[in-house]
Amino acid sequence: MTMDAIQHQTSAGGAEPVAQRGASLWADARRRLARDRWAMLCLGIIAFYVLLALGGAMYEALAAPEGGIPTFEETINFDQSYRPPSLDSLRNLLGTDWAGRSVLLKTVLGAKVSLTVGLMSNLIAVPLGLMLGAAAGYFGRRTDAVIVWLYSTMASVPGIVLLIAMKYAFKNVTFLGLNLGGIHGLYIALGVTAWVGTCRYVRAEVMKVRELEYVLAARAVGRGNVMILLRHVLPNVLHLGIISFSLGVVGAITAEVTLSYLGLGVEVGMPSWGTMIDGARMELHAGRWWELASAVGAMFLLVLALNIFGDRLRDALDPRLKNV
Amino acid sequence: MLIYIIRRLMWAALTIFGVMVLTFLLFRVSAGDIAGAVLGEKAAEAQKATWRHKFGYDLPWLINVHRNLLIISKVGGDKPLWAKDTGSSRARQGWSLVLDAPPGENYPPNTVLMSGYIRGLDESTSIHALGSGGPSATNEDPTGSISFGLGDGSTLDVPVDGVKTIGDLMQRINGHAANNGRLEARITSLSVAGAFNSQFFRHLKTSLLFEGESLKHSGQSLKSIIAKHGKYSLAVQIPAVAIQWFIGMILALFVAYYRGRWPDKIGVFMSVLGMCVPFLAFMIYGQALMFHLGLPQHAAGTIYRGNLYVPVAIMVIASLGGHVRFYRTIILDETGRDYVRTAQAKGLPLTTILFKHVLKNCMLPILTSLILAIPFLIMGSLLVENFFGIPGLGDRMITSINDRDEPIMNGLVFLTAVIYTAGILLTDLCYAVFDPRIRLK
Amino acid sequence: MMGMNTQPGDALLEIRDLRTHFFTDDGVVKAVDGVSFSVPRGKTFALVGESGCGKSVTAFSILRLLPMPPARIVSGSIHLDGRDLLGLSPGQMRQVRGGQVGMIFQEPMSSLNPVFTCGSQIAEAVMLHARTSAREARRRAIDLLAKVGIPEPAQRFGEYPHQLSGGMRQRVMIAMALSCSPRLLIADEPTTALDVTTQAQILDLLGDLQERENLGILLITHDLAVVAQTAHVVGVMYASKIVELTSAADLFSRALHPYTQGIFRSLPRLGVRGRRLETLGGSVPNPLNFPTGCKFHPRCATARMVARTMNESDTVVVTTETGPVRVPARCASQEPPLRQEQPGHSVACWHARAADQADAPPAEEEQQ
Repeated sequence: MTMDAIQHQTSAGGAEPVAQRGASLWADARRRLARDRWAMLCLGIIAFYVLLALGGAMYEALAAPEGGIPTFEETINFDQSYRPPSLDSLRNLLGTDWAGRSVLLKTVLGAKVSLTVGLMSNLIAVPLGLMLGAAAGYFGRRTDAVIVWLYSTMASVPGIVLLIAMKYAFKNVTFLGLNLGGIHGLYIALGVTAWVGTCRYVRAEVMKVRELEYVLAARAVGRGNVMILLRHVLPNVLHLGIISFSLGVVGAITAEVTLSYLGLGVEVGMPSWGTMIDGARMELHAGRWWELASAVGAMFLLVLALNIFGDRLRDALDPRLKNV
Repeated sequence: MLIYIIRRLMWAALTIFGVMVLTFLLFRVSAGDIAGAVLGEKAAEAQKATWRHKFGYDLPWLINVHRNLLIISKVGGDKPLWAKDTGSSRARQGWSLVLDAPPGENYPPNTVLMSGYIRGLDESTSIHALGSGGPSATNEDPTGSISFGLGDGSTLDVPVDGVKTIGDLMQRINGHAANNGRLEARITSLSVAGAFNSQFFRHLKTSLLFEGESLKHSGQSLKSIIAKHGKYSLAVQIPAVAIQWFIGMILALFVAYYRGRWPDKIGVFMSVLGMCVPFLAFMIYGQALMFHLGLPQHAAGTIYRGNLYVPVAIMVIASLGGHVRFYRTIILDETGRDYVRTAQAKGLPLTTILFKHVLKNCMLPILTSLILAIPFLIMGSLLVENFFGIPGLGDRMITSINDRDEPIMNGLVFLTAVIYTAGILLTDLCYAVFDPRIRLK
Repeated sequence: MMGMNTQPGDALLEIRDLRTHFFTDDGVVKAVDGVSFSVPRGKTFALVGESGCGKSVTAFSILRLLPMPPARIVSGSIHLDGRDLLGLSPGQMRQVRGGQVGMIFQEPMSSLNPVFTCGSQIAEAVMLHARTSAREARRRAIDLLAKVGIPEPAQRFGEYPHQLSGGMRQRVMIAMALSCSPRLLIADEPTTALDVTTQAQILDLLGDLQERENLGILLITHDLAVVAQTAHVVGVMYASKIVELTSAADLFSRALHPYTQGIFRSLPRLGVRGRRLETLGGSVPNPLNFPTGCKFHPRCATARMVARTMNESDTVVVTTETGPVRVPARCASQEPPLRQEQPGHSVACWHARAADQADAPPAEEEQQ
């Protein structure tokens, strides 16, 4: 932990290292992150989850009914139901659920769902927030007023209510060939509600960047607004997009689990940590703790790693925000 | 200052308007056929039409430049006007005719059958415009005849064979030999006031006046629901928020005082851990704990007053991590400011600096965050109420969404938005009053 | 009368071999590494240098205002009127702050608490050190405001910092710092954030106060004009060390250290036209990566010139930002101590010589 405690604006101690030749924000950030052991550990954990998710996806792709690898439904085996965790086989490593399916498999597939939702929803929300925030901050006046009105309106309704309402509206709708009743609707709904945070962030920053001298210079030279936005403004706020992304993934995963728990998330039959929690919560009284613990534990570890990594990432990219 | 307040009020009004547009799009427009959802898909079209008309779902969306066909019973008597297919005629079945008159058309009750709101309705409009579903949907021409029952008990049989347009039907009715002025068919005219009789404007009115009425539980008005369930939500949320804030602030001050040293590091570590445990886990394990401690009756429901302690405690513990971290950041932000260094250079002790200089600057952001948490007071935490069986507004919202009880759903969401916007206005006001930099501009 | 021959009675503040280091994740930053000087009673000592040379850290070290987890005063001594400051307990140190040593800072707007009135902030200091009643403190505060030249002091007492101009805010800060009649005032870049006219007013005010109260002033600045106007004794700092220490008069007439000389050469001069301004090539070294030997040698014009007159065996080639350069071996390997070259004039240089002796090298080499 570096200079926490009472920070001063003046050059306390001349500890402003003169920038090395050619050190860009990204190279600098990358270097700082690489040296940060905790951040690297968390990155490793995240990578592990990504591998699990990919593994899950591969399993689903390869598994076919009556084929060599049993599909998830086919693994139902009531003889094996409610087995506590044991080391005798990989299948039973984390125990089995009420239908005899492997909790380990469910957890892995749940990871795939969570990461998919986290990724896809932010791929919608963050660019949306970046563009709208940049437009609002740069063009000002009417554009700004409209966009601010838009996100103020959306922010007035509690997020979870909005999501529940949207998922309900999507119930039997198909859009571009995707069934919106399940996971696709979930990340689309998340995407179009989560852009608000990024937008606010970016808008504030763009308003500052807009007054920077080289932007004024570009305008004086007569460069078109779009070019200025792309070449001068956006690069300055890109790091905010990255930070938003990492924080947004946590939010998306939490939302997915909550909604799936309420029965409004993924489609029936698709395993997710949320449905695991929902299903297992009654079993706790009967002493069957393993499914709940797996889902909660898996989610906890991933969220922890994402939070810590996101924090370190933010410190590396924007030391001004740092406050330990 | 006055201009500032006015501008903020205008902004608030615009936001509320925006929320109403949003709820309109979300709950009404995308809802599809609510009649089918509430009455069941198999219900008769006439029944659905009546239901839709009762709740205003048959109105045009945005502006009412639509007209209706009216069939009016001109005789006295207390029997309501009715229309029925006779013999093998199946025309009436597909038509949306309801026993009501549009606003502005004053007739004695139960004497008018009106069609739906049809755009550009005139005598040349096809007869199929009268309805969808039933035989009309097949675009077959009507056959047979329809008999109308009038107020005095008499009937009039009107043949509808070969009727192709509305004008034809009107002609058959008005020109019927046995009519003798008992039954009249006419088309309504447009009016300026009538233009506002649309779904959107009614939505605005219902939202602003909190007029909604439950679709599923007839008779329950929005206001009564809020009154009845609101107190449960408040009973849980107010203590929860107050305790969260209080403990959060104390811990944050404590941790900030020892910044950099081990109490701080442990505090931050615990906060981060607490933030990462899913809220569901807190609830589930918390409840399980109650069972474990041999107190199952306190784990859910509201029979015992003590049952509030568990959800409140769980809410406090679950959110503590986030709160401590948030307050700590604000406090440390302030301690990084130059005036703190000046205060140190003056020789002030750390406690004075923290509790007098820093705290006063922190109060506003913290107060702001507190005020902005208010909407969630009323809505209750959806999950907590749902899980612990507390009949608060949050729980009611979930059931209304499950029941597709659109007016209640809309009303509760709107309520939250209004409170949130009011909260923002309140925080602006606080800044204007308490921050000398703004007050003395 | 400065430098190493201090009579014990003259020195208000005496700093010997102060070393303040920062222990950061990226390494140890030796921000102040062996600094010694004295502030005479009733006179102004100016500590000059570029940003990052360690002058502010030196000042903060006196009052121990640095964040002590990363920072640590590794060694050295600081004596105020003979009293060892570094050995004081935190409670005693707090009494010194404000009571015996006052400090003012660079940014008066952010250095005053925005939610308290100016007057109450001054009164707070009075009540703390002089233990008076609130009413008495208020009276004294208004007196102080008048003393620092603020018109309508009674009204200003109840006003908030943002309602005052920059110059007035700085006066409030001065009033606050002097509220308990300290003997030493530390001023960290007090005029940097002000415009030129206000700057002159504030410096005049400080001079007045010095005369009236026999106030010793330690002035931290990077602006030579300020030094010329107010200082009696000057210490030039470069990269955590003092490289030249002498009276102000001597500094301006006969600077001996190549760094100081380089600075003077780069100032525009009245009456000289048509010549390009000279620059001091290169940049301040990274404190995590100081050069070996004399920290200034990569940029030193004197070193290059002297190397040309020496045998090659006594010189080495060093890489600088502008390319490889030949300097005397000793400059690149041994750090010169601060020693007296002339009475009252100390320099840290192996080849210290007056500017007229060290001929400016041919114009081509100086152009960057």
